[in-house]
Amino acid sequence: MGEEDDKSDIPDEVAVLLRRIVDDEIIYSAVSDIDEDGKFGERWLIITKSKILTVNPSTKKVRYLPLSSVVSAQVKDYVGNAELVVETGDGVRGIIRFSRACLEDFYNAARVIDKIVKGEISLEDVSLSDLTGAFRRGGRVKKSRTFKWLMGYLKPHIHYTILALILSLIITGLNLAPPYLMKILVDDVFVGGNIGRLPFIVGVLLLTYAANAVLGAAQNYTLTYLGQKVIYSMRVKVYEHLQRLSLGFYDKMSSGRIMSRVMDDIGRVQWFLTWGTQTMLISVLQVLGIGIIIFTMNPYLALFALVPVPFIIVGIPLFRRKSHKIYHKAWRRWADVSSLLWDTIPGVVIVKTFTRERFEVKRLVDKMKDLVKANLKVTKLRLQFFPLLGFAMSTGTVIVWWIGGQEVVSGTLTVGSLIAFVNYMWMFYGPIQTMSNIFEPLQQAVTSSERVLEIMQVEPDIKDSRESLEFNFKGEITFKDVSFGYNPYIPVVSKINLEIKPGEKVGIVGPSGSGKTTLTKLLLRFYDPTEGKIFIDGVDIRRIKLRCLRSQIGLVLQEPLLFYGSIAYNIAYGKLDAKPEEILAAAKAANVHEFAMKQPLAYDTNVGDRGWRLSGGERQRVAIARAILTEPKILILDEATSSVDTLTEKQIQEAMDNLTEGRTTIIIAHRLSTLQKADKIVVLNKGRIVEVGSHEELMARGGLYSQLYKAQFFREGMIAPIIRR
Amino acid sequence: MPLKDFLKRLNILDPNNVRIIYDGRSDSLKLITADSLFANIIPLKPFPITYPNFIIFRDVHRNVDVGVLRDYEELDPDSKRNLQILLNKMYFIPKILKIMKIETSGDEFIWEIITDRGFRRFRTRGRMSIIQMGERVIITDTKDNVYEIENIWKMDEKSRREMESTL
Repeated sequence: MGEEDDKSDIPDEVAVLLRRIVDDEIIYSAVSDIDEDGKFGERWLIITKSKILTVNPSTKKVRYLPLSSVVSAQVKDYVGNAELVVETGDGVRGIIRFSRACLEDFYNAARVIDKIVKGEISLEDVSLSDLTGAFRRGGRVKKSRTFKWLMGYLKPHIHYTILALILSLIITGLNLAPPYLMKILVDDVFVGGNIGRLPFIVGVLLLTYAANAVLGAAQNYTLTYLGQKVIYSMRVKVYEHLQRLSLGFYDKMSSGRIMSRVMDDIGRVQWFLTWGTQTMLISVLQVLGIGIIIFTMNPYLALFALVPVPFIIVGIPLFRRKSHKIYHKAWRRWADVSSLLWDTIPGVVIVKTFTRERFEVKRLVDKMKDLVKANLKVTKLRLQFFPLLGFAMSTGTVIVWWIGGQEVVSGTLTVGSLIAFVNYMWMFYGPIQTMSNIFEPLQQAVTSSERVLEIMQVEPDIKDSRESLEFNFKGEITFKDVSFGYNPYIPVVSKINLEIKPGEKVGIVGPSGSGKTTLTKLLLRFYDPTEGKIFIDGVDIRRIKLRCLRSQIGLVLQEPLLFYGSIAYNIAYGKLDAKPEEILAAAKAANVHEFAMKQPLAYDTNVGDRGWRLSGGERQRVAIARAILTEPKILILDEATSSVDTLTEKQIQEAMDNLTEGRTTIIIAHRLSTLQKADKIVVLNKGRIVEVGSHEELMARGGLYSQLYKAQFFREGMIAPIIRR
Repeated sequence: MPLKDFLKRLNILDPNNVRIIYDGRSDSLKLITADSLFANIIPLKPFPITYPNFIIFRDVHRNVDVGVLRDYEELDPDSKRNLQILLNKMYFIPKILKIMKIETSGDEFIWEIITDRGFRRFRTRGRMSIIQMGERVIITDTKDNVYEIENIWKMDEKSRREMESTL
């Protein structure tokens, strides 16, 4: 739900019920999973230009409320369910209940109703996305589209695909030759005594095996090459696309899930495009080819050869279904052990502090016992199935030997033909087994393809338009009636009005969750406000090119993230063509120089993954050097000194002073003592600006700022004597 | 403050106006610029791998940097030679000529190599210990000693094979 096309998703039985009441255009619909009696069941919410309706297709109950009687709408979020309620002249009225699975759709509905009744949007030329501001998902991916998309990756390497297929066909053909040669060997040479043909047959057999080995290697290389080429271009394309996507996408999908799609899913897609499809195709051809051969050789015997086939066709999927759960259980037991190790090895200090070594050993022993048990179950199941399958196949062979043997004795079949027949018979079972086994991984690979395509279909929310501008900032910032929520219906900041002059230093303070960091994210256009506008030098930031905007705003975070690479690389990250003297100058200004020169390879020393080789304060200073090097016109310091010790803080403070001089600076600070140099302080509470003024003015006013300041001063005053003691 | 102001503070020296004299008694340098003379100077390489010719001159008594040189190769031959006397001592980075063997032990590699300073056996650990920059490879052992392969493509076949098969 949530997109215009979805209006057509209203089922016929609902549409019929609506026809009697609705005489104007439907602008939104959503389906709930809880009915009027609080039981699970389908119930529809329909919003037209004049009414709000609910329809239960099972009971045929239709209820409606004129939109003109509604003052506002909201979603009340409860445990395990929620309710869309509207405020009317007569009070609050519940419209529809739904489980939390439908939350997003009904938040959209509330927003639609709210905007209409408050006259914030004209119904004449409204589009649903204007009303909902909803995140556009890629939507459900059609199978045909997935296939077309996958073929797009094979197209540039079509000659390799064809080559691999030809090689596979030749190998399949070659594999059919040895049993036939065996037949000639036995009948003509061993029984018929035509010894002169022996060298020829042996020679042809040798050639066949040699050709098989060479072509097998060529096929393997071709498929691997093809797979690597496909996986390379697919991963690069997906990564490029991920870099384009807005932060909103990353909020909705965890990094673990994204990584899994880039690594695991693409890996499965690669297998599918190369080995999977080829194996399936070859297996089908083999079954057909060998089937024709054995039925041509001896149709009567061929019927007996089919005896184990039902066991294979039914047994393998049955085994897979049974084993799926057991394998998963074993995998989960392994994950338990692994997770315990991930917890306790890095957390060894805590384990030892609380003398919990024995406790942890016991926990591991318990989990290991479970793991052993689960693994034994897997083995037991395999031993129950595979010997049975082997027996069924051997029984088929024995029957063929029995019947065929009688035919040989009676002279209707040659010994060579019987041997060749049995060989072909075994070859016949192989591809049937493969086809039964391959079906599930093929399905998984198709699902993986859909998951990857789903990401590729997501469009970035924040992007440049053709009219986007580029210019050098002076540094004036204006927030005008800005409201925003990560979930558009739960505002994090509301009606923010703020003016910051060029070069001004503005502190933003407020309790946790008051929206301080959100304001800076809006300024950087990681998100767009749901209402209101932000201007830089009088230009709406939505009209400024993203690269231009972000390159002129420097950001220093509380937990600066460094990348795997040298100190110099991390400083120059914002200006990759920086000269060494520029890196050095920025590093000196940020107090990086002294500790950098003490490293084994000075600025060329690798800082490790996420900068783990440096202390928190050192990382912070590298981040400041990075900001100095990019020379931003506007700076955002987000709690940049809150997690460092007092000694380091002095060095960081010096670095900050160097960084902020002459630049418009927004300082988000938890420690209010660091804001005394600010030109003005903005106090936020519950997403709204509640006070603005200098430190002295705000203290004199005795409002929230003065309360926060006193509380902090009292706390630090209490702690200091304890530390001194 | 703009970056150019911080750049001014670096005192970037013009190699044409610099003379360097090696002071054997104090194992330091004398730095003579157009308008100043600095004694008790040691050269430091802030970027020993990426910009090995970039030098900082530090006054060891006052512990302050007095100037920087972008490329010491541009100095006059005498000054360059004097500077290299100290640099060669302070930056001991043997050049690997041949790799005899690389063995793995746990998560460590044990190297046996021939360098321009002779045979050496050392251990490295983790991917951070080997940095490749185009044809150059810098290897830092577990004791923070540094070795350099100047051009991996110009090494003998066996050494290259050892590198490729192990790393």
